[in-house]
Amino acid sequence: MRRPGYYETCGCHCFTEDEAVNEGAGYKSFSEIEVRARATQVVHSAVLYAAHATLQRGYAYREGQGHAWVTGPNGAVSRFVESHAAKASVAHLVSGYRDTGARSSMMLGATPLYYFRGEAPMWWPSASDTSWTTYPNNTSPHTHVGLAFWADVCASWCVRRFDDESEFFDIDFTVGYGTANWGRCSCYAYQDTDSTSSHANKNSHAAPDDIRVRFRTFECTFATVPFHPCTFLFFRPWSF
Amino acid sequence: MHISVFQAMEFLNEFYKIPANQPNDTHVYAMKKDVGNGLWIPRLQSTLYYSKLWQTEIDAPQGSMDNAPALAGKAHGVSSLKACLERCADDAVSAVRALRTVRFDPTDESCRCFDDSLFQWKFDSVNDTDNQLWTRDGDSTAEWYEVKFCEFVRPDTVRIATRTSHTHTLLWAVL
Repeated sequence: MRRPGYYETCGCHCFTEDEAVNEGAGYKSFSEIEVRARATQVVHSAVLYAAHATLQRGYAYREGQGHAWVTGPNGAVSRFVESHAAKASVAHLVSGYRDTGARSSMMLGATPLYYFRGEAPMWWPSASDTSWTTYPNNTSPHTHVGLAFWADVCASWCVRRFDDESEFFDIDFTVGYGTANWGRCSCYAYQDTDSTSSHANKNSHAAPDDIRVRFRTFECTFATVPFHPCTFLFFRPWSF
Repeated sequence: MHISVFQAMEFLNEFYKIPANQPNDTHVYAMKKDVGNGLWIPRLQSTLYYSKLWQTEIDAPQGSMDNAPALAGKAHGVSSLKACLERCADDAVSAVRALRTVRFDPTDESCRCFDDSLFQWKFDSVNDTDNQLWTRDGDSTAEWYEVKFCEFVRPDTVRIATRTSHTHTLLWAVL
């Protein structure tokens, strides 16, 4: 967002529409003409911007059951077992995005997800035995319940393998290793992304501060703007 | 959550949107390990955090347990989980050893304490048959717990208060 003209400071006013309260879901988000129609006051130095949602998050908080895979001697157990010790709270951040590779230093490790995809795995001994369809591994990630299950499996793996070092994870069902390994779970730690920081490339649980976050500095006093508690403005950091 | 919205955005800054004409079934999450239950032990001025390792029915055979890294021998006459946890904490403090795993069986009122985490892969690895521990026993009533003994620490009372309840959040970009 650019400051208008040559002014050293600016004021910032944010507006939102709430389709749940006003016109209804069918009228959600303003059209361009609706935005212009609300600019009813002429101020020669003002610039009007429209903000569009680019990322839509799912649930902000969910506590999984905790599912850990137990093999047992000679594979005698070989099933997902409820494990509170592997339990994690997870918050969905985004779907349809992939790491460019820039976060590789944060990656703690990855494991295949044995998702059957509705097909008998290649190692299944009998074609007439269809009990594989009832295995949790056949849970489809394309449903809300199924996706929550695999997210819980991945989070549990991250906990069991990396304890509380894991702060993010992603599950990717676009990669395949074979007919029964159709997915990947990757665990990430958090690190200071400022390459000049003495904390760079070191896993950290530290809370962020203004220096480490390194967001673009505005003269506007955003603290005075009454944001909706569930709405955040996303500014590009200096590193762009 | 450990992760603030700023850290989440910072993390996502290096993710790219997969083009619509390519498979895009990917999902990114923030996570935080559950700290488990906290048992305050006034006598030790310490807190023992504990979480159930497995659902009941997953147990270790007697012989395997004898080979596991035990902190103290099996104790009998321990009538409750709380008593078992407190006993294990006492043993850890007096022996100046770690306490990582506890087994309590309410049926025979037995209590065992281990100074290693039996949650580790090596105790359930097909490549390490010497350490394989876990079996399914439908008759077992034993409860296994992963524990963390925090000496001179009070229980975490902030965790519940910081939970957020909203279910829908939007991230906005100023274009």
